[in-house]
Amino acid sequence: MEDKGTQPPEPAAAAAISSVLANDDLLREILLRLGLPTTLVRAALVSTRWLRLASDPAFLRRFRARHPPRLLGFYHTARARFQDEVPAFVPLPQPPELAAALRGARLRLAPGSSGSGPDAPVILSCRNGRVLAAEFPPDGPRPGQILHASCMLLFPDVGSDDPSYTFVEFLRKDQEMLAKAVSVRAEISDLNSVRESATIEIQESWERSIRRDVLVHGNLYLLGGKGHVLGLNLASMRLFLFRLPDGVQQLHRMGNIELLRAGDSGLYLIHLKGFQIHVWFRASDSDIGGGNWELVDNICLRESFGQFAEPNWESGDALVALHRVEDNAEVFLRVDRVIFHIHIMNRTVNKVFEMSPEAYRYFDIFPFMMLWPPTFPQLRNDHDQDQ
Amino acid sequence: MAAAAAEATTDGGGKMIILISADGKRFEVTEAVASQSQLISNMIEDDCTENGVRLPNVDGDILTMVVDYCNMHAGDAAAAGDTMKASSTEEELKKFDAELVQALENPVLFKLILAANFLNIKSLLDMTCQRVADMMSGKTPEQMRETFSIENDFTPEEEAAIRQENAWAFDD
Repeated sequence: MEDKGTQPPEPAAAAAISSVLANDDLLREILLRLGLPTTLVRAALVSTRWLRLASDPAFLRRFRARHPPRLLGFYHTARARFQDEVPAFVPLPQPPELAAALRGARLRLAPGSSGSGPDAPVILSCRNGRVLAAEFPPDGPRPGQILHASCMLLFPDVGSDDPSYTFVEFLRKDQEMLAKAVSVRAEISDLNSVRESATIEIQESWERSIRRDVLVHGNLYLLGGKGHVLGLNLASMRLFLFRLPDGVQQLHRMGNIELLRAGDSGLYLIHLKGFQIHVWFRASDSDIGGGNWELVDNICLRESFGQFAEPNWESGDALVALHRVEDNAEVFLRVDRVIFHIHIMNRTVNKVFEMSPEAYRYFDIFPFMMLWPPTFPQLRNDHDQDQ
Repeated sequence: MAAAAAEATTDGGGKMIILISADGKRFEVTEAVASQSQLISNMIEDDCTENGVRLPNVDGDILTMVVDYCNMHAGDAAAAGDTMKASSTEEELKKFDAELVQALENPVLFKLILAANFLNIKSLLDMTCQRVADMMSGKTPEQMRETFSIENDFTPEEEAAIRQENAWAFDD
């Protein structure tokens, strides 16, 4: 054990260290307190025993609960016309240990990286350290004219890495507005991996510029209707609608509402009204979406913003939009050309980006998170042989 | 220092308990202070602390630190009505904890973890495990092995496979 190193610990010290680290329970408690997933991966490389503890699914779930996936930065699209969309990556300040992860985020958007021709990729969805770019719905008969589709990457539980995605198509047939969902296992290209829902009538047109969706407990929820949320139960591939809280309305072309996951099965609805953020909660454990909205929090932005507040915000004609940061209690808020990053819990606000005047009409944000969980290859039991 | 001035407070506060370290040092503390240790709290319930509590795997110098920590964290350390010393404020506690944990180095840190684990003092175990985790931050796997004298038992192929799968965690 103590045969190396520039300063081998004295025997008594080495004994104390090894009695702690040889105890699985204690070592697990220590690993659980590593602040960053990068440190966890490095620790897993210390020895096979450390790897075994660090790669245990139950341990990884505890680690995730303690350290929610970290926001590394965000992609934004800034485009003069739809065809010329040029995504860019804006990093947020990070400790030096995350330099490699940030470099990866930039490289992903290098020209030609998507393999989809000379055009720069169009980002459709960005989730858990992955970007879904330039993917298009498979061809097939449609019950009406496709207006647009909303796409989301899905990742099942810890330990599995099945890159499937789901998209919901919004269609028009005569005077009816319809929705239909399709779920695709991305790695398998034959048609058996595609599952479709029945078409339902949604009674109102759905905003194509509002790309807001959240996955909670096997249900996918989408915003975009004036007064409703559209839900999709993934197991049964059944679509359903339920109402927004009283007094909350999706404004035309405005990201004034956003959905967040609340615990295991509930939903938060973040509603930006003037310069206040109202937080609504809905315990929805049935897929039909029983239960009522309840107002649980109210944040006055002007207070939180302090020195950032600008006088022209008073007029109320600033363009404001919220953007969710995956399942974390944080959002991006766009006010005209400036992007702020807000932590809901401690109410801190940071200015993170200012877009150029020409880019400002067509702008979308995709938060980019630290990948989770790490992938640990299976080791052979007797790894001294057959190498 | 923690062992002093026992008799005077006996009738004012709770009962006193004597803790005896591996090297025979004796510490007299109130039940409230001692029962932050889940182990001792259970012993108090079972009524087996009359003749002192022997802690054969905790040295006197480590037990001194544990007793200081427990004294500091027992809400009613001064509950006997002393005006001199009101119970510690949250800020004082934070400062005390930060200074304690910053000063810890191998091997004392690890001995304290063993003591906190044996005595089952959750907050102290939390804090000391956190300190070890902090020591690992920013280190490479090689540096971690060196710090803790751990032998690498991966084959080069295995090590390469893990690095390749998680290239985002390595800065090379």
